[in-house]
Amino acid sequence: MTRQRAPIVHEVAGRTRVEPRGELDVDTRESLAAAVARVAVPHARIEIDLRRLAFIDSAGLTTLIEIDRDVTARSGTPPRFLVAESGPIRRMIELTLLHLSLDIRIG
Amino acid sequence: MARVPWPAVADTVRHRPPVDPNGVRAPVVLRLPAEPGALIMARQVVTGVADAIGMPDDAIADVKVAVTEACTNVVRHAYPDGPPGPMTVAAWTGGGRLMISVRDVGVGFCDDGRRTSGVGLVTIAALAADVGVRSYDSQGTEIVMAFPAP
Repeated sequence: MTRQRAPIVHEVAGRTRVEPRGELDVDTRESLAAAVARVAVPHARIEIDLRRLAFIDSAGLTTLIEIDRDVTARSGTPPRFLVAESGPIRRMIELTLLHLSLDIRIG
Repeated sequence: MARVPWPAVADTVRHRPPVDPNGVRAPVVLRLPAEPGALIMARQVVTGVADAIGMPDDAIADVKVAVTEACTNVVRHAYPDGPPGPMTVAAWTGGGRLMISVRDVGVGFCDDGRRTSGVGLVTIAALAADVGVRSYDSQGTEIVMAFPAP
């Protein structure tokens, strides 16, 4: 059985990138939220790289919204979400119109 | 959400899998505890069924999300007091459709104001071709979803 592994956190071009892997649902979302919460702010620019995520549901999408609010409140700058060009993550984000309210970069 | 005609008959007392109008037992029935760790198992089983009948990958992805939403609703709301109760996921095909039922024996939709039609059901409605919800009097809830099958 594929379980979600702990998100990878690393620096990329002056940004702190948090990279969840596996599946993001009500069972696994806490590890992503906790990883983002541990990132030092206020000066870091935070990217949430969703390109290695294989699955997301509404609980996962809600987690992205909560992360957006949390990071914005703490640092004054909303996080950037990186989404693969194709696949279920982009489909769910566009289905729920989250690309209109979050800083989403495709590709 | 509008209720649609019920495509299956379930044994509400003994929590048996649904039987379709032709009397055929659901070919795949999964009984799980209604807890977060069960979600991935439910997803993997319905993915296997959808793949076995030749559904394309994007359609399988929709099935996975819809089933997860239904199961998450059970995990969050069906058994507010006490330990997790049972959650049954059944899948069967017929009439060019893949049917999936998610059933619990906990608090019904009509019994508890906390169990409302939230984003999960909206998501299911957006992804499935058809959705039916049946709330049994104080004996739980069943959601049945239909998806086009090859």
